[in-house]
Amino acid sequence: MKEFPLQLLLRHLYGLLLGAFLGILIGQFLWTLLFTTILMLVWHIYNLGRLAAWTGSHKKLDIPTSRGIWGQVFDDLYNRQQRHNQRKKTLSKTLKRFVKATAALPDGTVVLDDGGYIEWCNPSARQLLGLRWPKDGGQRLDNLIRHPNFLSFYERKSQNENDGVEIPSPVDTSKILFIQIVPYGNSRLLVIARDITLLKRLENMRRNFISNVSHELKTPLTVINGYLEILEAEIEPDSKASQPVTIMQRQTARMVSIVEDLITLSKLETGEQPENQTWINVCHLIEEVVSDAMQLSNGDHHIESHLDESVTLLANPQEIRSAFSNLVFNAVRYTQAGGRVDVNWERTEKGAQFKVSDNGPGIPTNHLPRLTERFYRVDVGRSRHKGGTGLGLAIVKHILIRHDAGLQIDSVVGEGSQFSCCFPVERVQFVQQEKND
Amino acid sequence: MKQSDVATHISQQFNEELEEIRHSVLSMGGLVEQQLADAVTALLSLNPELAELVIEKDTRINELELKIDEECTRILALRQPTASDLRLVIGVFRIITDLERMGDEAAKVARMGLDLSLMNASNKTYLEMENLTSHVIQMVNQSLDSFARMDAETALQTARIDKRVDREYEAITRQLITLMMEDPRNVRHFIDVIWAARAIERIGDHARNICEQVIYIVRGTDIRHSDIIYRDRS
Repeated sequence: MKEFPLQLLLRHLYGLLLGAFLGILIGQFLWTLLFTTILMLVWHIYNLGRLAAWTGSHKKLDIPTSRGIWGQVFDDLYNRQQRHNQRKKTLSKTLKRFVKATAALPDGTVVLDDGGYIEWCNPSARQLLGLRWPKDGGQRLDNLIRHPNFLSFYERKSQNENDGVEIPSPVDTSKILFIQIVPYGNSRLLVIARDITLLKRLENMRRNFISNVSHELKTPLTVINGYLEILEAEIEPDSKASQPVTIMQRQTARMVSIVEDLITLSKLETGEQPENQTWINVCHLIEEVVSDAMQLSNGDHHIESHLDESVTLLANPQEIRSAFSNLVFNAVRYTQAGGRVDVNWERTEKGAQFKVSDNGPGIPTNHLPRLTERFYRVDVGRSRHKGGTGLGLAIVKHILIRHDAGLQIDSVVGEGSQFSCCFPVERVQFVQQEKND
Repeated sequence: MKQSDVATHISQQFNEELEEIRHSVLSMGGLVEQQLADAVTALLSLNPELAELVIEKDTRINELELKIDEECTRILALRQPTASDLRLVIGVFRIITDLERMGDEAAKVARMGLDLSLMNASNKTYLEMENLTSHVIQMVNQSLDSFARMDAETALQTARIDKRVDREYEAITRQLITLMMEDPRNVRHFIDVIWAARAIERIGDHARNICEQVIYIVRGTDIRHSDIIYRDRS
């Protein structure tokens, strides 16, 4: 039960009254009152002393017990201590569990404080990044991991959580690490390093396999093609064998174009930056592509182009031509006869844009995200019939990535599709003189 | 030197300036490390594009040297540092010179790689170089680590690796001389290989200089041109 100060005061007053009453009884009023007061004081001082002894000692002493107000104080303290101990136990257990869990993480984890100094790191971080714990506590992480790519990534302070940087491990350069930086709490940073050596090796293997297979297939195909040409010349046009030979020829031609596309793709994948980049006059290039497209369309389509002469692009001309012609030819191939195809080259707020739009059948929305995958086809039979290899858009995507550009596809079923390549402003130059002259 | 060791000045800004200089030296070191690794890869895999990239990037190291040099001069003039701060600034002066030379040598290795790839040489003969280069790369990495941690003990151990690097260089030279005598038609490209090995060995020497500077900064004793590194094993 809680006692309020007033009740406490009353209790003491009762004691005093009792003493006074006794004093009146034996005729020594003042003396008895004094005695009672001293008795009370001694009791209080005694209990206060016990409390002081308990709080002052470092040993684990049991809390003293008593009666009355002091008993209550001691009981409360005891309960509080018990609760505290309990909480401490669960907290330290949780902490231990947490430390064990982070220590067991296969990814290297480093905690940095607001100045970029190392606060903590787990054993995998010590192994992957060559940190020493606890010796490196208080060191700047960017002093110990000095790879230029990491430093520029670290200074950029990207807010995107998926951003990361690949660097060789400082301990063992044959290992490749993928490092991510996640901000948390009050301007603290969590640095996560993952070993992706195996992943990289697999990726390399796949890439090499495709490129090797394509090269190996090329030679036999050339031989078959050669013999088919000889056969075609020797067989009489209306004999039984003439039709199979024509079909065989058509199919080998298709295989050759697939193999060539695969080789182009693997070339695009291996090189990081395209070579021979120059400022190219895109309009001239697009006009050539459009005239090729007109041949392909055979006059069945209405092709129109709107080109801004003043915009030039920093790029590799062969690659850009290949990307643009893939898009324009696709539009011609998949748009019914009599349809129209518009080709645009214009400046935009973010740079420049090449846009091909048609009024063909359109592409259902669920296919759009996967359209640039290799051999992904919306309608398998039709695409093959039109002579597509299934690699065109994959090539376009890779070329655009290499030129820091993006491919955007919009389509409405029944109304048509629109493919736009958006180039960033760093790659675009606006030539004004031609207009002024 | 931990954060607390450097941050012992009343002027907060001076602390930050010293810390910043240390960091710029180390990021310059990181660039040199990468240049070295790329140059060696270009040489061993005869990759002309990578070699050209390395040669091109050397100017960035030179620019950094000028920048740090200017910053150090400014600190000397404005702050008039004493004791360990003075040693740090002087050490940094010497370390960046060494780093810049290392960058030049790496560019030289890349140039040899470019020459060799244009000559269509087979890369069989320089597989022996891998051992040498891995030791030198390790030396450079550890010397910079010891500067970051201000760890004289590691610096001493790293400086000792230089002896081994010298021995490996000698072995490679001897082997190449034998190869030249066997097949005099290829003398020209063996000479290129020797030049590259020489440049890599020089990088090891510069890494050793950095270690000596770290010991100078931490302990205050100048151990250049003395065989003290190999003596006090006890």
